[in-house]
Amino acid sequence: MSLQKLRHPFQCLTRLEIPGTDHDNLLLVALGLRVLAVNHKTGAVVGSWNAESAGSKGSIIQMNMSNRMDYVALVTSEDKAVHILSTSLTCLLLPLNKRTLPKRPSCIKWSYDDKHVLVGDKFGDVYALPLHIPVIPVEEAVSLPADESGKTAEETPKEDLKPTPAPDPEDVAAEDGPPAKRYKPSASELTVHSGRNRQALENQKRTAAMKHDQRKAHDPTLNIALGHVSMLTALTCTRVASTRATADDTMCYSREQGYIWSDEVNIGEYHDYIITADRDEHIRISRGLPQTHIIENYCFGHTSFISALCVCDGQDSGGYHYAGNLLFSGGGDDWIGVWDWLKGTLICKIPLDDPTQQQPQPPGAPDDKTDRRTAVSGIWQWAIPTPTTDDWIRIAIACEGEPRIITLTCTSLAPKSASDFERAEYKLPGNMLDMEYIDTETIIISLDSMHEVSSTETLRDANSEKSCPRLFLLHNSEFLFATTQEPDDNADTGGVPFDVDQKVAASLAEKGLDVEIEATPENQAKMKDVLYGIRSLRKGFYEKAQEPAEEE
Amino acid sequence: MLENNANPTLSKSTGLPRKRFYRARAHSNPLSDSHFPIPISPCQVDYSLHYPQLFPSSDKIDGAKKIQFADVGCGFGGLLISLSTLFPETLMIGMELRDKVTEYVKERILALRVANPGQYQNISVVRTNSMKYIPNYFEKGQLSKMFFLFPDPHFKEKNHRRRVISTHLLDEYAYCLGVGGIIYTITDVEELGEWMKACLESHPLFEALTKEELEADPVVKLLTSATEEGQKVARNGGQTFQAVYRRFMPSQ
Repeated sequence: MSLQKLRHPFQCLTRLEIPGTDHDNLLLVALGLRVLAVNHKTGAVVGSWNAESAGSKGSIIQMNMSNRMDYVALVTSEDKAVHILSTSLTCLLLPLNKRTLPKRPSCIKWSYDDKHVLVGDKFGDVYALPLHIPVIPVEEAVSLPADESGKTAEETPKEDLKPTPAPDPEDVAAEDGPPAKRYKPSASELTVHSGRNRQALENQKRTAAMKHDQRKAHDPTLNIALGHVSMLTALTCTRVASTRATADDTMCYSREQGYIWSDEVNIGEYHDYIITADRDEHIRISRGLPQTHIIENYCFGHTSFISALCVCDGQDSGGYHYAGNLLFSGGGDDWIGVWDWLKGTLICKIPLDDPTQQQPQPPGAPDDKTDRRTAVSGIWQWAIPTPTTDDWIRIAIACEGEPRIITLTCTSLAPKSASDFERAEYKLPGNMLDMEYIDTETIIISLDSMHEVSSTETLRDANSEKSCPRLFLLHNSEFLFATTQEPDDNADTGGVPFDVDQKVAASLAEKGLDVEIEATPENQAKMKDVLYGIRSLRKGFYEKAQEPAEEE
Repeated sequence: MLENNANPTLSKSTGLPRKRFYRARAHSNPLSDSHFPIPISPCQVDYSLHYPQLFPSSDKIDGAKKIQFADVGCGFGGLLISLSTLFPETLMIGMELRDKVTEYVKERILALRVANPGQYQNISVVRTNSMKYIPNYFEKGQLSKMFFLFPDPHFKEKNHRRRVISTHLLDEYAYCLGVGGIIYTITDVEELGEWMKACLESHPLFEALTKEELEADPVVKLLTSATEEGQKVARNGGQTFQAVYRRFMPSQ
């Protein structure tokens, strides 16, 4: 029996608009190691780049478009690299640079001014990678001045130059700490007492001398902006205008004075913030670069890991884009947190599941040992509210390995309680992976075409008549304010939601770019690792499966 | 077993707990998952559990006194006990990751409270991982002194990220400390002393105390004399390396 072949899903997607050109309906999708620019109206593939050409391995696991839509940043899984590609009309998907990080990046986001890519990793460090790699002469890089700009330059690259005593790249040294120097054992004859300790110390000294010459210098452009002690799981950054140029009675936030009336502050002032979340229930609000060492506050309330953050943006009548004071957060808890993030206060918790409806047990073998507790994998703002489209906040939520999209709609920009939010749910023909909004009415969803509905392990039967589309269009009118809806069983033979998928699949096949995966156990494990890593963040998830980690 | 008898863990002469019943491993990995209760936020720290005489009920009183000193990695609690009588009006807490050591300090404080009525009501201890959860205990700017005395050196370079003083953790300590708050560090490991000093020196929110200020501060003398580790170093004729820095607000 020949092995089944399954269509590889699109792990990530993001919208790309090049205004004034015919490229205003583009979507960037990640397909394995390849990133493709496709027109979501015609299905035409207008650009493609393969990360293999830059020496990367694994799959693209993260993708983030710059705020001006002129660059896209990608993360490849196996070589832990961050790639930046240009997305301008003349050099669509042209690689700009590649940087390899010491640990696998877990989240990536452009800073508000697009000058840096912020990358959070498994160790809890957040790197601020400048868009362009600065040219540092080799001589200078080795002997960087200790702190030339005094105390304001808190994070000079000096820390990344520390010698690496172990040749294994996994064993890279801690990134934070005092300046580099030749490795010297911390213990001395005065601190060790037993004979064996003394012997070990001598060995240490000997190997240190040996390895000193072989050391690999770290990339000096890897600046660390801030760090958590726990694994970093979500990251976002935002800019708050000190004032909104609209009505005089608007409350706005001033870093010095707190909440004040907008006519009391200077127009045009703004502040950047970085919001980071970790596996240990913390949401931290830090100032933006270069003052990331100043923590404004924490948002306390989660009792499990946090894996998704979303700050609500808006637009005032003058067309000025502003970040709202609302932050949505989700993760291992069965609710979504709504925060006034600048104050660090929890406005309300919104239950993920409709409390009035009994949740049907997802189908799956009873011996399936996977953790079935809900884990939020993404929160998106559906559309940016403008005065012309009503001041509505619309949020879309995906849960890992679940074939549904949940939306929350609030008709006010200042919700007070969970009852201000209208909850709706739409069942999808496959597990939801990623989404992007196309316009105020439409979103496009990436679905897992490989796995069975509700499963993160069981692969689909390729011979089955029902196949799952990889891209799925959803119109607002189809489910807004409606309660749970079932997809039309006949829909997969045609109709608008499936149209785009068929067109894209046709043009991919035409260019020979489509990827099919054999249903081998290795590929199955690999795809699970690429698509589903969030439930395993729960504490105790690995406890039965693995030996206690990190024991010497 | 000995422990089942009529509390043999307490010394007959002094009523204090005896250390040999609270032996623990010298090191604990601060990066592994914690399985003990953590307050969700600083307002959920139950002061009535820690300071029963000063906070008879667990109801929150607005404007009530808050913890101002934190001894991070308090070990067997020697410093807390010395500070308790030096600053009788200040609430202070020891934070320790090792369960047995925390139990010892708890018993020690209870015994001291019984032996000296009215005294030692302002100190307590909590088992926690301060590297991960310190903002869960203290609000922004709540603390005025933080102590990091003889922390685990984590010799291996690979494990340096487990050190309790690092550039990034100093961001958190700067958040918990009020402007003017002081951070005290001391170690007998020269390399760690250099590390801690370098981290504090390069941090934009900390400045070193002057020599005169150090001499005028009565707490500085306690760093070596009051702690069990400090006494051990003194016995062995070892050397210590201290770094004392103040949280300040740079002009922006």
